[in-house]
Amino acid sequence: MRRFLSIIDRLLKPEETGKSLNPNIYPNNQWYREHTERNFDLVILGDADKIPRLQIPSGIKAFDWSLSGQNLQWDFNVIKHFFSVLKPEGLVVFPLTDSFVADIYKKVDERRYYIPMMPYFFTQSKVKMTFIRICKHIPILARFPFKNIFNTLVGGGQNLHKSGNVNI
Amino acid sequence: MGGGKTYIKAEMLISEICSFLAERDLRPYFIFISENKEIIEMTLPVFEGKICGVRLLNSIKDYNWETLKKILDNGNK
Repeated sequence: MRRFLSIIDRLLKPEETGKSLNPNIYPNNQWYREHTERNFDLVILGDADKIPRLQIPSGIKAFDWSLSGQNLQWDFNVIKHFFSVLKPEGLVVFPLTDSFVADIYKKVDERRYYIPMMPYFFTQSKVKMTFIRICKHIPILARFPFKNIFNTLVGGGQNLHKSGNVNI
Repeated sequence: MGGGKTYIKAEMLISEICSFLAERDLRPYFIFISENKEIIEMTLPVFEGKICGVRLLNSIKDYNWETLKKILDNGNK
């Protein structure tokens, strides 16, 4: 009878294995602002198609931010924006497979390397470029240094990315 | 033609990742999984001289929680 009850209890309360690992959470700016929990021990990145997700036991604060088709460049962009969830000396794991070798001898253009990945930055740069394009078509506004006008209106926008490094 | 300099992508990326995380007191760790020895030999020079942890695994089966736990514990000591 006791055994029967324990089985029912297990069915009702599933094991907490992997509770800390929530695969549904993928970081974005909104999530970062809404969730104030920090001091995580571990962040796992990489390609979710090639590398299996691990069942991390409860008690260890970890995130699995691997996504299907995610390469090292994207990994860096994710951790670049959300590194502060980790505690000091927190571990960032980059699992790599054979496909990484294709990138080793690939040469890239310096200007095309820095691509704004996060939607927040992308939207802001897109707004800026649209504003500049509109200003170019209006002769009166074209006389003014509209880049400076935009920066003063938005404030701090120029600090997010250098103009030379942005490709839209 | 063109104006921008060209760099080898992976090496630049890894050095940037390592320096970025080291500045923020974090530990980057690269786990390279491959069954092919030639590919492993090709890949190793990329990590040379970088401030990061590297582990080579021969099979995807070796990539499990126990491996990660060892890496995690080594840092806490």
